[in-house]
Amino acid sequence: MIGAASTASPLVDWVGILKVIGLSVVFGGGAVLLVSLGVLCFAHSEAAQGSRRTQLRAGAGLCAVVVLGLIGFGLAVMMSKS
Amino acid sequence: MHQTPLLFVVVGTALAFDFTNGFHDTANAMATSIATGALKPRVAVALSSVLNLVGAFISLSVAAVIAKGIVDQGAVTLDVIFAGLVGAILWNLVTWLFGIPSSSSHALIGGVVGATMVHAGSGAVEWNGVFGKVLIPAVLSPFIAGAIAAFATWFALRLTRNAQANAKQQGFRWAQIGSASMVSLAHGTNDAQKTMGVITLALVANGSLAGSASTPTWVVLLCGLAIGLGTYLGGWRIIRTVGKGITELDTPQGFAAETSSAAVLLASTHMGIPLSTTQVCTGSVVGSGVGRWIPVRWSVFGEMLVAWGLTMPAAALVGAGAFSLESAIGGNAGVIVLGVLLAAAAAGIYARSRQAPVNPENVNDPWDPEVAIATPATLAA
Repeated sequence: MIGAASTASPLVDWVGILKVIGLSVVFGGGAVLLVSLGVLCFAHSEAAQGSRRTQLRAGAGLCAVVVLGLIGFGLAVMMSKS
Repeated sequence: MHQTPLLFVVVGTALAFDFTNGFHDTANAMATSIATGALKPRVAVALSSVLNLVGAFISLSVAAVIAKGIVDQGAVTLDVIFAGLVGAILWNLVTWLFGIPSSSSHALIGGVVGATMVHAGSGAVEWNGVFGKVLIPAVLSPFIAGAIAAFATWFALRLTRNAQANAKQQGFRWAQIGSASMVSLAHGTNDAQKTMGVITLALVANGSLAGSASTPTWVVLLCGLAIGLGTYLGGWRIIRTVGKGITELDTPQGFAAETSSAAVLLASTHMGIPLSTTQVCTGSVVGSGVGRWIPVRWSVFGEMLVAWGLTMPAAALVGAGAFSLESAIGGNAGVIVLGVLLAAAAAGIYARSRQAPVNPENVNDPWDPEVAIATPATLAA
């Protein structure tokens, strides 16, 4: 039977769902922004010359590193739940 | 039947369900990568398989929710779990035959709820848990994922609109492989845990495990292997529907869809809210079409919505029927008859699918615009 504790709790964990939405927007949107910027830098670097090319490549690399960091953070959060 | 032999039957059936969950849901992670050509079909399913196995070991928070929040554990017997699994497996196989990406989670929950209701009445079902923790979040999930994917797709395309096409495709191709890998990992984390939850529930019901105990390591390993193997065999019929049937996909779009799915699934795992991976990923694909402002085949999505709505009641009905049959026959004979019927139905569905096979060679064939859903008959035409 449904226990007292479960009947007292709200039917839907709206706070939890809102947190899921918030985290998804922040991390998903952040990842898309970073990858898009990285791709943009990489694409423009193909046509660039000299130091401009180096700067764009560095920008693309930086975006890739930050995305990898984001992924690592996500994995760390998941593992901390086990 | 003595409880321990029945426990073996239940654990084996649960792993069979996990296997069907794997091939049913390969599309979630890899359909877009296969459709855009970011990965070759066999490479995609192999990568997804390994990541599903790894994902099974990452977190156990969803397993705990499934085991403890759906039905009163005191009312659950091994026979109930067995009948519930039969309902879930049959629904998974039928929807796979028709190429419909329905939720394995809902099928599982529906099957167990149906069998429990016959066994102990509706009072043994924790309806607050069913509606609040599972059903309502799952109903919302495709729309949440779809909205995020639509925005992400629009944003990615807008930001890179002046980028050189080849470099753009190449960059997003690698990003798509990365994001699809994250979805595979999240799928292993989310979905393998559901079977872990069922097996844990069976162990508790059999008295082999204390109610407060955590999921044993051997359960985690077996569930990871079963879902990984199922993923490797690849549910090509559903991959085709998701990758080619909903909308036309290119690499930025596929990347945005997979990233949105990964973000929603990982966030839900973190919060311990078990969302349907299938509905999240399908919603993201639909959203990516909307975000790119290209046609979405709403008739295909509409049929999926109907199937999603039917999943829990249909699995519950089969689960209830299976339990009634098993109880009516009784004892060892009941379990054996039910097992034989399940095997015969599975063999029949598989044989039917061979009449119009979908495989790595034809999975990316152009979608017939006159076809709403990839039925075996229309695929054969």
